Amino acid sequence: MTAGVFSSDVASHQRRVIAILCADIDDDSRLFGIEEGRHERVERHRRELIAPSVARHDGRLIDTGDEGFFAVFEGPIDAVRSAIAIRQSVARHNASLSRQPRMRCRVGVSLGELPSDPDDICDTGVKMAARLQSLAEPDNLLISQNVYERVKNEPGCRFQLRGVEKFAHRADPVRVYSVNAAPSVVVSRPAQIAWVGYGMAVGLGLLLGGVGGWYRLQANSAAEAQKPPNVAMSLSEQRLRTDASVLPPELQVDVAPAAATSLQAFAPAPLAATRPPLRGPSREANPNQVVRECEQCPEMVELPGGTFAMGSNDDPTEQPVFRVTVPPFALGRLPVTIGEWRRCVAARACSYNPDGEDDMPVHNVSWNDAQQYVEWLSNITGVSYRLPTEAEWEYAARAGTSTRYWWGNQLVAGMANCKGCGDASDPRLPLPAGSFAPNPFGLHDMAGGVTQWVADCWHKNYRGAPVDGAVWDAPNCRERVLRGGSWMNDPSYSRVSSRDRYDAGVRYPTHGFRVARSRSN
Amino acid sequence: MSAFTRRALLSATMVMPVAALAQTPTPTGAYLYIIWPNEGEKIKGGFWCRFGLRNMGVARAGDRTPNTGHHHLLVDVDAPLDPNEPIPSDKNHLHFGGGQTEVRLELPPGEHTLQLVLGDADHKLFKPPVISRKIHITVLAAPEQAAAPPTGRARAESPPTPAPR
Repeated sequence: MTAGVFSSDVASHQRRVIAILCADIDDDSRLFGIEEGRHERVERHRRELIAPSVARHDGRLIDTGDEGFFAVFEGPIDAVRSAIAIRQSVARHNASLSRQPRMRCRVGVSLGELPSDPDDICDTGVKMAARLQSLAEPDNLLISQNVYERVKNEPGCRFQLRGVEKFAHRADPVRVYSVNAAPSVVVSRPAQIAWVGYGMAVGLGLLLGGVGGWYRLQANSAAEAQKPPNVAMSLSEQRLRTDASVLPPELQVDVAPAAATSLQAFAPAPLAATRPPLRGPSREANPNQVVRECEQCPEMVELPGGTFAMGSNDDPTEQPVFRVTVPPFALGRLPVTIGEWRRCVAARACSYNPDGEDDMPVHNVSWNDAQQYVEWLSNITGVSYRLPTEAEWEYAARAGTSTRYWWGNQLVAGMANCKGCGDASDPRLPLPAGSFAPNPFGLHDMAGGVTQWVADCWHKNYRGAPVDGAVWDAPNCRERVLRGGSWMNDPSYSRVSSRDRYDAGVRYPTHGFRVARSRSN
Repeated sequence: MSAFTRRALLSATMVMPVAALAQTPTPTGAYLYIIWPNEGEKIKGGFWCRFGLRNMGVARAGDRTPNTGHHHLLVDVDAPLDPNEPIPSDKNHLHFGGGQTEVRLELPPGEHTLQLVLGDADHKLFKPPVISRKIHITVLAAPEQAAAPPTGRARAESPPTPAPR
């Protein structure tokens, strides 16, 4: 697959174009009193996390400098795949530990020219890779514009323009893209992946996917026509975005997670010569915008309104399936974290005082506790925050999809934090908020993690439910609805349509929530 | 590798909250039982399941009054409960953290098992666990017509525990 891309880059002379990867891994082992020198640590990271991922994609580790690990690859696709593999290795490593110390990796990939002496690559490409690495948020992968041009049709990858960067050694600014991959993109060791229940079907899909990779590449532009709306951008990510607003919207590219539906990708699809424009309600409604009303407020993703089929036939509580139209609203990008919750405790507005790390979703909160938080948040911002309605929650969880999970009908390892979702997790604690890839609306942790309270009163099925996305309440309601399943539930609870309930006034360790508000303008 | 093992062990011991280790002791004489249905009962449609507890009190979840707990009903559960984890909350592990002592169940036709487990303020098992005998019932296919079971009190060998304090 890479040969075709690469061959065009090979200059006839001694210099040739290569892809350069720069990765940096850090952890907080010092905080845990682990006495290990920097050299030991770097060596261990190289040996256990970096080298295998590089070797598997025919790359060569060339240097371990202060700025990170460098590796060269014959083609950018290999480099990007290797980068994704490194990120997955780190994620797997984090998941294999009960909690801490957690590692974070940053990776940058750029193109450069390889001089005749292959060990002397101190050229602009290396500097750019190092710079991209340093600009990346933890656990993120940034690629330069020229890499993007060569890998943008990779199935299963989602690219997002992050901004335009000025590099010291280059006259013209360079566009920078981030890469998000469906976990199946680099199925590094398929045997390790815990396919729950659907092993045969998915295995077949992967096999076909491998054989037909070339075909998928060709058919990819057609598949993009069905792509979901853009991924949201966090505020912290927007620091890179200063000049992005000047770019025409069609440059803000986004590729569907085709790997999640690799079987579908084999349906005969017409080859499209040009990229079709983005379609659907998402464009005019300007979704994906992430806003934060105040420094201590949760990040909110502005979502377009839409009509969708709510419910499923998987469980009597999810029936009947019915059509609901949800007006535009905003929903928290992440579940409310302990750090965010503590602001409310400090203001003496929230009575529950949790233990735990700031980046962990707040849990063991009752529905009544959640009401204290949204009330406090509304008071300090002057904006009316609330819990999402059940319809809003499911609409956001589906994010334009109609499958059991947003990534498809089958469980895919490493997409959610649940018992049997393929990642070892501490039974007592959820993983930090945002540990998993966002859904097509840019929302993280809509499957597994903390089960999330919604505003509605529990009704045993959807007979009589409102069709306008409004809250379905009841007088003297005792039990409220929970959605999304928890890290202690099995995967069926992580389905987008799964419903659960609990006493509104009772705390339970796996219960958390995210906030919503109606469209402000 | 040894570094990883060391880190894993270290982190495992560091993050384990003290509460996870301490189980609430069971008072002597505590006895948990299902008042209705009886073992082997054949039931048409939905029914009320009533909970009995002797020598302990029922309180809301979170209430740390000594010798109190709250009910959990296990429906068709065979897996043992982990004493160090909160009792799971899902479609088979029903929680009554509000201090409820009965529940209306609508189970699909067929054979089912019911078992009560008392949880402490943090939804964890007492030590030793306060668990009822597991009963076996058969739900018969029937129209949505509630069988009127006898009230708990009428059948109870002794009055069920009073309402939450």
